[in-house]
Amino acid sequence: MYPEHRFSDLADSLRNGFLLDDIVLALARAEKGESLGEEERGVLEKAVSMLQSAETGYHWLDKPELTSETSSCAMLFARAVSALPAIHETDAFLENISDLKATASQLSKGGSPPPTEKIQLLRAFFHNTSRSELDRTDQLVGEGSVDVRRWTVIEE
Amino acid sequence: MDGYRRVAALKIQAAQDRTHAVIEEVARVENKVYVSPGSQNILCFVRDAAARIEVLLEDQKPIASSSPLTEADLEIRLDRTTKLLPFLYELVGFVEGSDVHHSPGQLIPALRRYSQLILPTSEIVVSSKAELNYSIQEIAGPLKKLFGAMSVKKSCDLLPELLFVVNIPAVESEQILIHAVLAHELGHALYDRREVAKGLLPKIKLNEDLVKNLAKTIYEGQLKHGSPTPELRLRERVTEEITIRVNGWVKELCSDAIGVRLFGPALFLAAAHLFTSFIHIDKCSATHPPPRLRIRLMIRMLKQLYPVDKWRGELQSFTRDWDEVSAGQISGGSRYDQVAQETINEAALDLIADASAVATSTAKCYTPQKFDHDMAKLAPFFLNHIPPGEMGPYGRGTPVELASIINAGWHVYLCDFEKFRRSLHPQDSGTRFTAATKLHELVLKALEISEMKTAWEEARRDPKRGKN
Repeated sequence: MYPEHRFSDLADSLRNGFLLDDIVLALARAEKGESLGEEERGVLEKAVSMLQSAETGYHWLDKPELTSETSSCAMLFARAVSALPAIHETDAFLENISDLKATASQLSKGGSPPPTEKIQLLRAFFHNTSRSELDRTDQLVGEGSVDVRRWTVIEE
Repeated sequence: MDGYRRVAALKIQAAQDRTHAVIEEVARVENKVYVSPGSQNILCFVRDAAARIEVLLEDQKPIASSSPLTEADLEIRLDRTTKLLPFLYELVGFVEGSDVHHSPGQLIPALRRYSQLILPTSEIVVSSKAELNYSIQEIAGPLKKLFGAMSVKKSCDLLPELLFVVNIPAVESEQILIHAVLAHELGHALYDRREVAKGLLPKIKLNEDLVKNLAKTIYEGQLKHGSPTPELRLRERVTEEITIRVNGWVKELCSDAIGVRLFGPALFLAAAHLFTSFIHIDKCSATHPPPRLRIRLMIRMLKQLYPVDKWRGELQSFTRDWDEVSAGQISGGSRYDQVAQETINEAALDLIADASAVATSTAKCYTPQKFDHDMAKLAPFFLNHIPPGEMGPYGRGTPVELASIINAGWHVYLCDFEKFRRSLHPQDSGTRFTAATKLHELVLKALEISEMKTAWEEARRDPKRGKN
C-alpha cells in the first residue's frame, strides 16, 4: 500500500550529490586557474539553474501557486538556506544568491574568469550543499540497513 | 594532504574489492528459479553495474592523487561513490524472496500480464518476505535517472522501461484480494508517464491568505515564547513543508483515482481493509494524505461512476459506513497538514478525478457494466467452489480478466462470506481465517486458469506455431 519513496529518494539524493561533486571539482579547477572544458562548463550551467530555482523557491510564498516544478524549487531554496549558514536576513540571502549565480554564469560561459574570491564563495556554497546532500544520502542508506558502526552484543 | 591521498587510494581499493563481493553474491543467487523475468533483470543489472562501478572507482584515482580538491571535498566525493555499493546490495535484496519457493506463483503471471496491458514495457518482481510490509515501488526510473549521466548508464539497457518491485508479507502472500492495491501503483506510473501534474497542479488553488498568514502566525507564536525563527528560515520551512505536502498528496490521490478507474471497486475495498488493519485513519505524512481523505476520494468516484445504490445490501452498507466516516473531520496533524487539507477540498477532488480520466483515456478501464456482469455471473461460481478463470461455451471459452476475478472475489468476501463458509468442509470452515484462505485459493486458481487460457490462445495465434 505504501509505495516506498525511500529507494527513489536515495537514487535522487545520490544523483544530486554526484552533480554537486562535479560542480565542486570544476570550481576547484577554476579556482586554481585551469581552463574549463565543455563538460565542466555544462556542469556549471546546471549550477546556474540550481541557483535560479532556489531564487524561484524563495519567491514562492509571495504568490503561492502550484506547478510541477514547485516542490523542486522549494527544495533547492531550502538547500540554499542551509548552505549559507551565516545569512539570516532575506535581503542578504537574495543578494548572495544573485552574486553566486552571476559567478557561476560567468564561468559557464568561458571567457575571462571572475575574481578568485568570488569563485571561493561559490565553491564554499556548493561544498556545503554537497555535504548536506551526503548527510541526506547517509540518512536514507541508514533507514534501509543496519548501522555498521554499531556493535551488537548477543548474550548467550 | 599526502597522507590523506594514500588513505583515499586505500578507500578506493577497499570499495573495488567490495564490488567483487557483489558480483559473487549475484553468482550465488542467479541460479535460483524466479517466477518473473524481472528478478533476472535486476541480477543482470547489478552484476553489470558492479563491474562498471569498479571502473568508476578506478577513474577516481587520478582525481584523488592530483586534483585540486581539498581533503574535505575529496572525502565527500569518495564517500558518495562508495555509497553506490549499499545501493547495489539493496537491489539484490529486492530479488530475495522472489523465487518459486517463496512467492505466490499463481498470482504473478496474471499480475504481470495485467501490468503489461496497462504499461506495455513494464515488468514486475514479487517478493515475499517475513515482514509485515506491503510495498510497491518502481525502480527502473530512479536507476536510469541516477546513472543517466555516468559511465554506469550502459547497465541500464538491461532494465525494462518500468520495473515494479512488489513486496508482500510472506504470511499473507496468498491473500490475493488485498493485492488489488497494485492498481494504485500503476496509477503512479500513469501519473508520471502522462505528465498529469503539469495540467492538474496549476488548476488547484491554494488559499493565498492562509499560506501567507501561516508564516506570520508561526512567527508571532514563537515571539511570545521569546525564540522566534528568523524570517528567512521561516519562509524556507513554510515553503518546503507546504509544497511537498500538496504536491505529494495530489500525486497519491490521483494515483488512487487512476487505480479506481483501472480496477473498479476492488481497489477501494482492498485499500479500506488495509487501512483498517494498519493505519490510523487520520495519520498523514509529508508525502501521503490521511486514509480518511483517500477513502473520501475513492467513494466520491465510485458514486459518480457506479450505481452504488443498486449494489447488494452488504456492499452498500460497507460503502455507506466508509462514506460517513470519510466525510468526517480529519483530526490532528500539523498546521502544514491543515493547509494541505484545506487546499485539497471538494473542488480539488473533482479536478483529481477528472485528471485520472485523462490519464487512463487509452488504458483498459474496469466499468460498471463489467462489475454488474461479474457479480451476477462470476461470484456464484465461487459459491459453488468453481474457480471462474474461463467463461463461455465449452471449447470456445474466453479467459476472465484479472480485475473481474478480483472484484467478484471481493463481492463474495463482503456479501456472501457466511454462505461460502457454510458450504465448505468443516475442516476448512472452522475459523473465519481458514474459510477466507479457501476463497483466496479459489481466486488464485481462477487467475491461474485465466492465465493458462490466455497463454494457450497466444500460442495458437503465434504465426511461427508448428514451424519450429
